[in-house]
Amino acid sequence: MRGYILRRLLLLIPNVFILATSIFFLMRVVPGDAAIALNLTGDGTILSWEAVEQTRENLGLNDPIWIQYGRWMGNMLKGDLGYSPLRQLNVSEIILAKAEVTFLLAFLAVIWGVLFSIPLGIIAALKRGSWIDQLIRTFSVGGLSVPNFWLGILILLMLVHWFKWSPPIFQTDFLDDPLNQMKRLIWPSVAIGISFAAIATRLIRSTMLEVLNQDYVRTARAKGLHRNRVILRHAAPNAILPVLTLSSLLFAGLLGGAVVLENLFALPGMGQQIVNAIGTRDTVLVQGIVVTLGVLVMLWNLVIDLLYVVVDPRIKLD
Amino acid sequence: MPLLEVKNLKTHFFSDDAITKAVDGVSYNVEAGETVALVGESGCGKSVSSLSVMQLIPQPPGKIVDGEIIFGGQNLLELDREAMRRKRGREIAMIFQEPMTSLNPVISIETQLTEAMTLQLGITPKEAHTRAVELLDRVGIPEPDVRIKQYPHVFSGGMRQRVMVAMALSCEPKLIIADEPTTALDVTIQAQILDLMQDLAKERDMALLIITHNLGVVARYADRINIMYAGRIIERGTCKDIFADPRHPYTLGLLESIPRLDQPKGSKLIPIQGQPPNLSDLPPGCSFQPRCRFAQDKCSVEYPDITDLRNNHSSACWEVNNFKAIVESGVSK
Repeated sequence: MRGYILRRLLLLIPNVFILATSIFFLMRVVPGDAAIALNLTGDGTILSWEAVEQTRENLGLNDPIWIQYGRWMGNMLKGDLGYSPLRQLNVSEIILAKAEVTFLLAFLAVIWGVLFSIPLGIIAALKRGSWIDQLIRTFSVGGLSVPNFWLGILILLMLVHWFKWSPPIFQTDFLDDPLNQMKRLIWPSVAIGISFAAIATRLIRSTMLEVLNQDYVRTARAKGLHRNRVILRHAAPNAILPVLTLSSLLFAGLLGGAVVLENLFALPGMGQQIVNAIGTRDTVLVQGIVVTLGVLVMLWNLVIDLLYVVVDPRIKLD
Repeated sequence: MPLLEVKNLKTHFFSDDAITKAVDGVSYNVEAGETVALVGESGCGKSVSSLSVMQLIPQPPGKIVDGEIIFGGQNLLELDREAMRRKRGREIAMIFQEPMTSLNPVISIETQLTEAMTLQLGITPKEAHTRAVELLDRVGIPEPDVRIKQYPHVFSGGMRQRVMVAMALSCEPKLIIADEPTTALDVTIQAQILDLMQDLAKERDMALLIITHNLGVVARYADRINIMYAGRIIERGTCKDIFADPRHPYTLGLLESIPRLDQPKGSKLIPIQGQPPNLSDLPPGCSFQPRCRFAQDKCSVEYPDITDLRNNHSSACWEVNNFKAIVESGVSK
């Protein structure tokens, strides 16, 4: 087990390298650079082109692209993600301050997805063809077709307009005041989680129908077990295994959803930060955030693979 | 009074365009402590008739439309769901055909063995564990205290079927229904499992209902035999009656189609011609008549009632009384 985790962590290195290289050159294709943003006056005009040129020289933006690439990669190897001239902060400090919100949003979205989809999928399978099944299937098709930013706007408007609810304005550390943080995160994470819940519900419904016809479910009934135990202990664990796979496939998409919803709900996460950074061509910050998000996805996949071992005794990693 | 008495059982499967009469008026009984066989080819309704006793027929599409299943003096079909649940495992246990898929892959052997005991016998998990280890030891699983912690995927097919036998025995039922218990196993393992089941049933005075297509199994283990064809029982009798004096052309066909050691060298096996009928579209009259060597006009008009010959040897054939003469005269279609 320990050997497997170590091997998987070593595999992160080439993956991160490829990701970092791609985002570096992608950002160089985008016109404009941070020097312009640094030399804007209050009304949006450029101070002077000489000053811009001077800033470029100072930031090393005039160096050949290979030199810039080598410098950034070299620093990354030392664990230094670079310095944001616009924000006058180290990129790693910015990310450390913002990663929590983004990760919690995506993680909560998975939790909502699981909490909704498991009971709904199981009930739909058990009541196959009934009005409950129809209702659940309508929900899941609806959840699949509604884009999360629109759902986010809808939730926000409804809460504010009808329930006079507004999220706490001040950000606190999750560990200091989890309740306050949850109040801020709950609705945007629901908006992200709905699409995951919708897909997972459909998946669980179909696997559950399959599992209910398996011989071992008949064996469990032949033993005289209660209906609930047959369903929850014997059938359900086999039916929810594919949801694990689904969550590892969709996690990147959920992080993408977090980027959008953070902007909508004015949450200070990496998503808000990256949109901002792209606007001001803060390339070093964009690269840093993309690499971090990439690593989060890779680590999530590792966690899911380890969870498989816990849930399914047939799977051995070594 | 017999332990189990199935009377005129009819289990049909309903689909949009057809009714499949998987079991269509089957009657048989099992006395306490005896071994009874239900024999027939694939699709003749023998499994459905045993699943009907347990009320494990998938509903819909299946439905028990008529008949009585009397077990220990009680009609099981009149019990409510909870009362029937308490019978399963506790009084009637079942062993299935496919040991590879009959155990839950994500639950340990220990849990699968003990959960029924703690529920049905009301014993503590610790007592159930002790009993489970004893049972595994009794059914021939080496190192039972180690293996009980494992999961089904590390067991071979024969070992899994031994676990299934242990599971069936665990609540000391009065009747064990074994539905093709050895069909999926290697020939070398088949006899071991059957011997084991027979010994255990004798030891604990349990009745055994073996569902099989294999007459060889029947000859060695069953006290009495019921032969099924197309949803009905067409002949029944003691093992000796059936093998020495078959009174139905289908039974005769089954016996002629298996090789025997006492046959002269080089003699050919005689297969039964044709295909088993479609259960949703049965031929008129006797279901076997399109394949029968001795069929007469009468056979395609009316289904013959099952008639008693002597000592419970009965057959559903118009020529039940002069069957021997007809066979010897070699009248063929």
